[in-house]
Amino acid sequence: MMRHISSIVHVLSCILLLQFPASCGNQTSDSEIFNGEIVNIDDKDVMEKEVEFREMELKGVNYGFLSICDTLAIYMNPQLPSHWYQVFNLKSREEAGDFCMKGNGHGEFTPVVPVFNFYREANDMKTLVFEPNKERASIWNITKSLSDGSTVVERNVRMPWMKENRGACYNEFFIKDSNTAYAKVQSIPINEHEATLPYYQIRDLKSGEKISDIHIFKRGIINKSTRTIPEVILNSNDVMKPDGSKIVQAMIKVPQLNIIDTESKHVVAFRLDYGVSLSDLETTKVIKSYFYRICADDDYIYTVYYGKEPWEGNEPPVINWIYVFDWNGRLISKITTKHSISEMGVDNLNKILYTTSHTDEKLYYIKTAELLGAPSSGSASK
Amino acid sequence: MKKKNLSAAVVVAALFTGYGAYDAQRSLGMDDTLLANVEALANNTGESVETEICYVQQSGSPQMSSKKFCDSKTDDTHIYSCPTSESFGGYSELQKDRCIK
Repeated sequence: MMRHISSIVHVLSCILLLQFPASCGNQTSDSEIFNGEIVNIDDKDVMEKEVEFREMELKGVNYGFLSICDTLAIYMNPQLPSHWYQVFNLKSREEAGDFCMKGNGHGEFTPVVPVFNFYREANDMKTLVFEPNKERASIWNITKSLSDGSTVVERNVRMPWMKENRGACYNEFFIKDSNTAYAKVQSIPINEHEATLPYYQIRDLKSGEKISDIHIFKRGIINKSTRTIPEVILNSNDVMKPDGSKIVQAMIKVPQLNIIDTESKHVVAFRLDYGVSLSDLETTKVIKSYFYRICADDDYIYTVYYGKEPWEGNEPPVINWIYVFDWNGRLISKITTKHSISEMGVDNLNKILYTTSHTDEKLYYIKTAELLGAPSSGSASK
Repeated sequence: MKKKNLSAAVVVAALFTGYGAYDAQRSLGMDDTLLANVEALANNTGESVETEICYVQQSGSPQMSSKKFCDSKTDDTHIYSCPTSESFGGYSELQKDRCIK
């Protein structure tokens, strides 16, 4: 009798064991999606604190996508009548000039993207101005432009994408040095539920040729139950460490930072332990938005954190959380501000963090030492 | 691109004669009553225009890129000419819309 029961148990066990691998095989692992190691970050010991920024009114209408370069604020302002960029001196608060004239003629610029970072060459501050429709980037000498009072472009570089990337344009550019740029190729839709993968190209700024690729993801996400369009699911806002050694991506749909080593091309993800993974994106119906904006100095990464469902309509809600990380992926501080944050940038030289707000035209600022050194309110994590 | 001065009903009708299988209701947020009216009008007018997809621009969005953005006046009953080129801006991840090619 016991032998009979034992045989039945043995057969049942075998049947269960045969079933188990099949059910395991249906679950996607993040390692199938992400091309690197994923490190979980526990934020339970990180206290939250409220910090009040100082306010600055610039002497002139200021609007648009903000970039900070030492004591300069550069706005890519599509509302300007004749130019694309507006530069302010943050010490005097005066407008230093409008640059890059709009138009299709010689010395003019068709629609451009914001300026993403800067580099120094022979004591001059320079950046890249990318015109997607002309597949062209221009080396803009900001220092000479400010002293001359007109736009000084040193040379143009081919930046093909229409055929070369099969219609996937670049949506972020980071210059490591005068010879090398890291261009992020955006994700574009394949069909209603699927999109191509975003990735980086390392490009030679002398020849305009591609040197190599950096792949952050192995495969894409297909989710047929969400209203979120597929090309935004693996999207991020990125920034390069001012010394050029790393690029960090603040992912929008997962509370995760991807830190890319620009030399080795290795990628490591640091994910807040909020129970959200990349594989969850395949089944979640309403996908929240997490990191909203990012900027960085050589010491820290500053991100604007949202953590809620995307809003409907054109008016954004109040967004006033700043999460600060170090370059090892450690969460240092969680800060709330009294003002809602739209754009953010940091002066790496003088260590001052700036933000704009979509509710007014003020520029808000605080020294980063003060931001991080302010006493915590001692409130529990969300 | 020629701007076409179409009546609201014809414009809405054109959306549904131009695309058969595309889930327009999902992208345009239209309700059943409006859809029924549109189909009836389309059958009566027989007019169609060629359209393409554009992105709804949204200030303050975390999603920013170079896209073809819909005219800011686009709403449930009016669409406008497609932009001739891409421009950089924040876009709505929840919605795309149509523009006249």
